[in-house]
Amino acid sequence: MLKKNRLELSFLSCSAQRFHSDGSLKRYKARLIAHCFQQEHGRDYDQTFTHVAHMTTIHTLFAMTFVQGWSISQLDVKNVFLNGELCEDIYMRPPHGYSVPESIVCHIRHSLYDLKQTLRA
Amino acid sequence: LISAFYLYGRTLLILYVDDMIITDNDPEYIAFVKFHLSDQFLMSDLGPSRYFLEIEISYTNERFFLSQEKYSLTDHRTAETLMELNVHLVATDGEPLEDPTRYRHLIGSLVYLGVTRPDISYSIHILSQFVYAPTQIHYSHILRVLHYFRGTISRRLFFSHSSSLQPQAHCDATWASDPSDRRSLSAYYVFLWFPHCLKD
Repeated sequence: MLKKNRLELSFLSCSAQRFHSDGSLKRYKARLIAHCFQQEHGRDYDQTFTHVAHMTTIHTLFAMTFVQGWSISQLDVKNVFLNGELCEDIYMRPPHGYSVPESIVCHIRHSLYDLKQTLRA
Repeated sequence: LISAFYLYGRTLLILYVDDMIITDNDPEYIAFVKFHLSDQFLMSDLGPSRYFLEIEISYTNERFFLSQEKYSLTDHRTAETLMELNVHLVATDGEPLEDPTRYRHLIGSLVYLGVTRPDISYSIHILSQFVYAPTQIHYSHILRVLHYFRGTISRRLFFSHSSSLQPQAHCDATWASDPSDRRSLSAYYVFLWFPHCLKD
């Protein structure tokens, strides 16, 4: 149930298309996006920055690796923003198509696209 | 997800939001780290690093290069130098640009280009002082930097396999050199190797 002092967010799903370089359709994309403009600083989010490695650190790593003759591997985390854990209580209305009673909302445990704290979480 | 720089034994890992590079002298340990990471997160393994944050990494046996040649430029004019000698730009030079957005985008791109092209950093330092209200004169100077870059696009940051990891620091400063506010300018560079911009 929705707590009175907590924000209820409505959500928008957004769809897009991804194309191959020759213009043919690769796949459809859809994502659930939070209406972040309803969030209030101090109540629904605190910090919004993200930690990134400093360019000097990256340069130093490359220099060391090259001199030592080590191998470098690269990985890419898929949908990284959806992995963040939220420490604030945020609720959302179930998306259209879910048949749930009017009074029921979802408690969000992981971050979603467009939440203010997604970068930080 | 928190990005950080970890040192665990000999394994180094750099995380940049969702991009990660791992390096180690033991390929088996890299595989072990990858296995445990993919246990926690959905990941794609891009194998040996070729591009990281739009920076191209290339190597032969003895030579390593970092470059950003893929920066696309449609203008084919070139310039031999970044700036004319003894130019003193001030905020009130020329007519203000109607739309400063393009100037700001160019400054942003050139700041990032400085990652592998330290030779442009002084010009960018000067030109970025006018992003608030750029004028036609400033714009013509930024175009000159682009023309210079166009002519030297194949220059890359070179790392030698045989260089020592001895740090070397250089610094320099001017005294009250800015003609408009008489501020001083200082700069420093720390080398862990002996880099050169090489022409292909």
